[in-house]
Amino acid sequence: MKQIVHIFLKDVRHFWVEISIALAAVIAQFWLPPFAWAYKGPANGAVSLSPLATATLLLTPLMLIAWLLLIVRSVQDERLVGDRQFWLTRPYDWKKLLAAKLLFFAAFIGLPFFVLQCVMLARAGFSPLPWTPRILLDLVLIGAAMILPLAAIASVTASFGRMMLVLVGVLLYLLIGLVVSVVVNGLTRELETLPVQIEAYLADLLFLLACAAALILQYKRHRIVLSRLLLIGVFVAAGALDLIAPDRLLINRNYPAVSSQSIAPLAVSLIDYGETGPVSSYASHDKSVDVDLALDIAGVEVGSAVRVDAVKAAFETPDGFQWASGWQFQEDWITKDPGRTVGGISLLMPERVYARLKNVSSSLKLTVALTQLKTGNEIEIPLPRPNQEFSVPGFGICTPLGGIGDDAPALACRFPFQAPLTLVSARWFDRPCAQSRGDPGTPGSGWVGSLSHDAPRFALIPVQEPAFPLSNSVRTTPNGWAPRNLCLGTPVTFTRYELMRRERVTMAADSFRLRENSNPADSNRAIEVPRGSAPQPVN
Amino acid sequence: MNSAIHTQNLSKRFGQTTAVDRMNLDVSEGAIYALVGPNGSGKTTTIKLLMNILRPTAGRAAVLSIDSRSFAGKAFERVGYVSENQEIPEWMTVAALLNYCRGFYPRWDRQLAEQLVRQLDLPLGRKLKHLSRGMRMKASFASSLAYRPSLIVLDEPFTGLDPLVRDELIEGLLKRASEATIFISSHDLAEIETFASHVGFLENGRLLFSEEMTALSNRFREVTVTLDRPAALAQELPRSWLRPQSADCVVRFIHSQFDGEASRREIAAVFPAARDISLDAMSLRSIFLAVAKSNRGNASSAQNQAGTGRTAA
Repeated sequence: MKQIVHIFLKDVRHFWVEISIALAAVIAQFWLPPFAWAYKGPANGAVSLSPLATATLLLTPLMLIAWLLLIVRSVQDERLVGDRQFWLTRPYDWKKLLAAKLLFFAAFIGLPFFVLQCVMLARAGFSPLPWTPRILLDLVLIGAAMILPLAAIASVTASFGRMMLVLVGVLLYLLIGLVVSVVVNGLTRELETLPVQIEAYLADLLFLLACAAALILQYKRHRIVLSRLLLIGVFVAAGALDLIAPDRLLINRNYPAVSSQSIAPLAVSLIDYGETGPVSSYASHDKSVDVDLALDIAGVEVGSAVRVDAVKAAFETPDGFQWASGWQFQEDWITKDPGRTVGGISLLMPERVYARLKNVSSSLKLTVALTQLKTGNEIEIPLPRPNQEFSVPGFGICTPLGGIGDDAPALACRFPFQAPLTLVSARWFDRPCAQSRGDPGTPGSGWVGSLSHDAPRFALIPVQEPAFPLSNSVRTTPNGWAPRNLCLGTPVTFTRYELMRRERVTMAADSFRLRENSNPADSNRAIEVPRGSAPQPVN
Repeated sequence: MNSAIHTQNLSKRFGQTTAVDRMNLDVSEGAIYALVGPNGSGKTTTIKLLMNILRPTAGRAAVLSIDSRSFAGKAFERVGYVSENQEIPEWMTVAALLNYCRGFYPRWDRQLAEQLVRQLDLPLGRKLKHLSRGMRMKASFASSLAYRPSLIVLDEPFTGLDPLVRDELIEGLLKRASEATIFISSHDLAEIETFASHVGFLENGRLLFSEEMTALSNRFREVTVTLDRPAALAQELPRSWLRPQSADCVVRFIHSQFDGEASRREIAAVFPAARDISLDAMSLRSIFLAVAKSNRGNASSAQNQAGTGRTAA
């Protein structure tokens, strides 16, 4: 222990400037974020950051850079590459040297991070105590995701400059990997809602194990070539694993295939509008086209909801042209309406594919990954006066944002870490609150949070304040639009939704036609059920 | 007597280059062993192998009876290592360096450290990066002697230092000689000659000889034979006669196995017309040059000749 402390104190003396910068960045984080919480954004339902708070966002990169400096400089103070270092012929015990470095990281990264989290939670109005295990879990994640890989790379590089070159190389590799992934797996969007499973983290675990092995190998044996080969090999292998174990495997594992009949009374079908219906709209991106397909969901049971998480499509034209997308993740497509809901599925396809498929009758096989949700806790709270905070147990702290008098044009909430998946609903009033007594109002609702809200994640700020505008927040007027109001005493309902099951449903259409939009700039995805000729659901 | 250092067929290759070639070396405890040899002969590599900074390709070495491959951690409490190209923590002051080192050695002698600081005239408050090369060497020296190591390993400690600093270092070193084995590699043969008890000569990774300094001095003689009349050199001269040269009536060579009267009779037998035979003792530098040149002139035969020397220190 004596040697550990001895080396630790030496590092403290040597790196007091770097330590001071890192601590200053952390201390600044203690004070500045509440400016964002206190700021009430423009009266359009969105919560904005104040200019000062926006400036403080720069503190996070500064803190990360300071941590990077601390990690690399500390490891390389007893450089493990080369044969001329003073310390190589001194009675250093490699385990104690490594422990001294870990103590250094714990003291100047881990402890400030822990205190930062606790203080920020307390300042945001949440008791840190019940969140301590979660903070510690995040701390472990930071250690695994940041400290361990950086320390491992620092241990096989001779100087800070070379370390930076390696990091640039890593970034390039990731960039190339991303491009290759798009080519191999198709155009995909991030899916945040997959449950935590080992397969999803296999590549990461492999890489972390290699980092740990390389670090120990370097400290114990100084096997530089072996350590470098290990890191490079596993880094490449982890990237390849991400490529060859695409989302397909994870989706298939997490969303068992079911027939469309077996999910009754829920009914999910693809709508083929035929020649008479509205065209699919699309937005043109770089070399790709965003095509909207219409999905019909009916029979959602009361007290439940259905979320479309991801889709994949396979087209085949009569002349033999085939194209299959990878899994493409959908955003915020949730319905709890027991009646019929038709929504747009966004499908990104290469421009050249779109050119082959448009206006051609083709066979389409569409697979949809669905999550069925059931309601959990429901809390109803009368809305207080604007700018008066109210606590929602198990959810967070909310504030009706100030407008004129008792009129609140928006609601803002903040949560410790991440909110559970919750539907927030209230009633809007068209007129000022003073004149709205007896008015039934217009329902408005908005989804916030995540099913995997309690999973650890790499986040430096433990308080989230996401924007979740309630629907119907504006009304149309002869002059354009006008905001609606939430009024004092209006019940606001917070309904928590929990996972019921996940399913994968496949449907097919024999003669599906992607019709060309007359206005390519139109990217509006709202698709209405056509009047007159009813669309034919296809199973 | 126990060996402080013992190697057995110790070899190190870097790709196609053999830096150390099947070295068999034995350094007795208490010896002041000088490892000499031209640039690139493998001296530094040998020391790095002994200190477990490099791992041998073949063979083995034992330092203070510990296998060099596992020489680490506490084992270094008994070793003081100073190298000309060692990277020391230059951000530290001399005092900080000594304080820092002190934490690693239970046997650290504060009085000895203070004595070394005074003797070597070290400026305690100055940062190492602001010191001259000589001063940095002295600081490194003090930090490696203050815990009374059993084995002091010095890799080219005098290179580039002015004579005054050299004297100070040697003086400091000799004061420790009674309680430690000293293993030193150096080009500074004149200095080495004044205090080394044993010497080993390394060339192209091979240890050509390794023996006591007095024995080495006794077996090398610069021989000058004056003949009655000019005569050509015989084709077959004894293999222990290095670099034979002839000019008019004078023949010169280096006798590498001189053995008193027996050698004198041997010379007289080869040169029956000798009018005078002079036998001059040689400095270490002269011996080193003679052996080195002889090897370069006729590598294979010279190696065989020198290989006849004793290899136990």
